[in-house]
Amino acid sequence: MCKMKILMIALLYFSSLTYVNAEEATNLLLDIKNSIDTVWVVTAGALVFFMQAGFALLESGMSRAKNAVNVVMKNYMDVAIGSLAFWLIGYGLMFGDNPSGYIGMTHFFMHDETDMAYSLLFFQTMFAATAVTIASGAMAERTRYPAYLVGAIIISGIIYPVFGSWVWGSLYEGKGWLAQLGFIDFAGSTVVHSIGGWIALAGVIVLGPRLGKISPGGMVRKIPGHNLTLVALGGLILWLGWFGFNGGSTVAADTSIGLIVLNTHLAAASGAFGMLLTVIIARKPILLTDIVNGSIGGLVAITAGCATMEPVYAIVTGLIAGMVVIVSMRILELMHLDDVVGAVAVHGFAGAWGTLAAGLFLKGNMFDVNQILIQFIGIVVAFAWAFPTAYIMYKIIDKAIGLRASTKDEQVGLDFSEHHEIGYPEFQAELIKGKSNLS
Amino acid sequence: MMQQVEDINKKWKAIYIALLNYFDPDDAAEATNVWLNEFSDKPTFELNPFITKISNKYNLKISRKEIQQSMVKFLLMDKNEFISQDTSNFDISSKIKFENDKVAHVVFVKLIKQWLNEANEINKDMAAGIRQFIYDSLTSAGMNYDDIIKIKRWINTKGRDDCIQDFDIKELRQITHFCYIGSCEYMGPVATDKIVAEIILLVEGTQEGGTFSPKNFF
Repeated sequence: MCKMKILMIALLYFSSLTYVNAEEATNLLLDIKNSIDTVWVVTAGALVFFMQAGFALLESGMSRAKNAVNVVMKNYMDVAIGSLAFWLIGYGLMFGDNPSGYIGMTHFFMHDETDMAYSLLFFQTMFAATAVTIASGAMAERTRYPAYLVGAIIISGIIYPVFGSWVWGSLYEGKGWLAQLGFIDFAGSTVVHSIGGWIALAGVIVLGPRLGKISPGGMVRKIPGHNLTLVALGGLILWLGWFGFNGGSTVAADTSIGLIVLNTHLAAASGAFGMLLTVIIARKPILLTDIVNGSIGGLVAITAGCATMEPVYAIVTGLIAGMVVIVSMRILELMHLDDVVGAVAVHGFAGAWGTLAAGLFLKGNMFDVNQILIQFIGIVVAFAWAFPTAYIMYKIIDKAIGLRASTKDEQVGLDFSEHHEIGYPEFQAELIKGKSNLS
Repeated sequence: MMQQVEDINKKWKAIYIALLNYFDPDDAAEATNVWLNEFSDKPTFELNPFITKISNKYNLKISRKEIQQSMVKFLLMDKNEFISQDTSNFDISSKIKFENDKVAHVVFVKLIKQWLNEANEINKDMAAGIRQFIYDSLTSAGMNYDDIIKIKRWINTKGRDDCIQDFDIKELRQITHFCYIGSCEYMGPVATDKIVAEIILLVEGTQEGGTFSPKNFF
């Protein structure tokens, strides 16, 4: 349909010309095509940017009221400094000339480029910001703000782009070594989400659980978030933004977008359903937070194969992702790992499953053992790169400037201790007065 | 809290030296006591209400701005530079009385007793766990054995409140802090925050709590 419209517009335009030659007509068509591609990529980038609002609401809602501002502040600055770091160094490492297949070497602090290159930079910057922000939710309520920001810069400037170059680094010259193997990750189940999830896992381990999360007897306590309406709204915004995340990864306004967006939607729906089914079978209460995480798990999982599988398999992928999320969340809890929003399960484990599913359900080549093996290699390599690197990074940050907030700050809440601002002055007004007494 | 005490010590001296320009030493000491007991809990440079009060009280004709500038000058002075001032000025120390100190002890007693009582009502084992956590943490923090015994006696046997009269605000704050962590460990952070919020309201409702907020211990 889209191509037909372009053709008709072009024909109308040509008919008004008195003299047209074939070369000019082709150039004009290409111009129009490029313009439409640009509009789509930029619009999709804006949708991915909107996902930051979703993350902010979801993570803030799942945190206690005394940390609401801190969580939002982390999301806000993720975009800001993550974007700058990615422009400065990340994009070059990820998409620059990559003859070795291991790292990009050009296009740092991009300038003097084509219009389409800028559009791609904009779009990819939003991806980088997404990868960075995944860790913020997992590490919420006990991370020192400056330390977190240092981590965010390193993630968006180095950890994320280096792995990205192995899979997507074929924009200019050369091709990433995983891409050369035939690894499929269309929009980043592994490149963006699993990497973010494994980084979050490292952060959670280095930080340790929140005060009182684990009882002296080893029992894991629930620490409910302060606003479940925000959680639901955040989940829905993420769902919407994902249409841009996956749909925009075509980097062209072509007809394949329909299938991609449909698969994305179906996987989200079945992710929520998979979660529902699992908690019913396990005779557990149906929690809103779990259902939202189930749908996001579905979205994460379909991201790798949304362009290369039939809708029915997108449903299967999402359904299993919902189950993977709840099971991995429980496993992490049993290991006494305190992930406030379930980011490791949703992005790490569901991302790994989705990447495998992209190989399993590859249209025209389903259940191909070689492809599945390649997918598996990609999943393992992502973990082997992101987890230890992030672990070392957070350890160094912890030693150098301190990653964990003091228990006093944790008690007062990071809103006040880190920002001298509070999210809910109506019932925290005395806090500022009380603390000011200490000045 | 030690820092707070140091800050207040430095601040009253700064205020006192500034006031010496306009008052005789006795009146300056009296005015400093007004600041210490009524205005020291305000943000450092929120001096206008205090200056207004003493100007009215002593019917000062000097520009309030001038007094304020003088106070700010001494408040901003580096600690070492400040100490090098004529120390004889501070012979007046005995006349300076931080009445809040006594009040702070009363508030602390109310706060911790109420806290542990609430924990005891919920679950006795939990309350015992919190108490033990406080002792263990104080030991780890290097508090001397005799002091820990005093605290133990005070908490366990509901002994006389003057058992802890020797503890300074820094130490009281440390005990409160360990009580909070112990509560989080044994009761969970959500229940702890709820209880703490309730007790703070309760203690703030008392006469002493109105003078010295229990929040100062957190």
